[in-house]
Amino acid sequence: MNDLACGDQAVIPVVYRPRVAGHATASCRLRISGWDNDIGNLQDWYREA
Amino acid sequence: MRQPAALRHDRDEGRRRRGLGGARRAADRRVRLCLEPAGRGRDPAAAGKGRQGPRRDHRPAATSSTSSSTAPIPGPRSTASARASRPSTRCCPIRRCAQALGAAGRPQVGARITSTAAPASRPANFVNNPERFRSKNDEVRVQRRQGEPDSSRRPAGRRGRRHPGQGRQEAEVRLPDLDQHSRARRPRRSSSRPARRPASTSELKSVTASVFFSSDVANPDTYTKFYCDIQMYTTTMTQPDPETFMNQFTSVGGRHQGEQVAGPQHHALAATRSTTRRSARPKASSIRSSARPCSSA
Repeated sequence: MNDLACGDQAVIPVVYRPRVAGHATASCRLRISGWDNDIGNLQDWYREA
Repeated sequence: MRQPAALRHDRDEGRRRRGLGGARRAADRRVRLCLEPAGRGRDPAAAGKGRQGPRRDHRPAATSSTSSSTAPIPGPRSTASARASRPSTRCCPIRRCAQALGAAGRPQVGARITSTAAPASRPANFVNNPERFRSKNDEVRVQRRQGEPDSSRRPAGRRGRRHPGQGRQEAEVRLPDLDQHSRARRPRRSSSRPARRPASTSELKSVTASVFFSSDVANPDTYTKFYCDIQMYTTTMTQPDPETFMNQFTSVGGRHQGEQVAGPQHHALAATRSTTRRSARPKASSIRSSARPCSSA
């Protein structure tokens, strides 16, 4: 359906706007969802040493 | 509060003829004269709601729409009718041109204007997340013709505009290059050429949000009356289910102010998906565009 709407020029996507939830220099493994709290799965966060 | 220039009584109120507003200098009269024959712009709760404004100034919609190109178009302009055809809805090359302009300018917008706050979306992705629903189809559907003589170009009408019904579908939007590197080197050139080739003219209008979402019945720029061929907007995917999000392009939810947004092929696809929803749902983003019939006038 996405290809149909875009290919038929019913809509022309330009940019998408993600949200910054945090910033780290170390390698962190976070799975952040745009449809949940920023710390919605806080229990699964970990940081590679 | 400072009034917009068009509504200031001491000015020309944006009219060409000062006397058009009548003895009372009704600021919105010109707007009403344009809107009411088309059935729009009326306040349904107003006194005398059957007609607003002096009756003698109203011309019948049937005669005015055929005799003058500036006469108001009856009914919604997105309707695929001969009397109200719009290039953005009826003419494939115009829509391809708009898509090409978006494809040419998108990397520049994402890299230089919005930066990391809003990266450029993939060439044809209205659904950007969840990732498994993101389309991998990066094809920009603009056909490029190489080595064609200029005589093959579609003849333009007066002042460079298209003549209505002058073989629109034979025209192709041709671009110099569409690969990533040439766009980076020549963004201005590659974005201006496709606009000239189909010989289309456009008028850019920007409406402030506080005006657009206001409820002024006399203002044609509010969201209940504003109408344009192409509108740039920001929308939010409020849930991770892409089927709900894409419902705006189907007959279920695809209506803007009572008008249909998408075409019949979208509805057919939506009907197919609604019957096979449970089994085919993971494949929702893998529909090939080759099955897409191109809308033609």
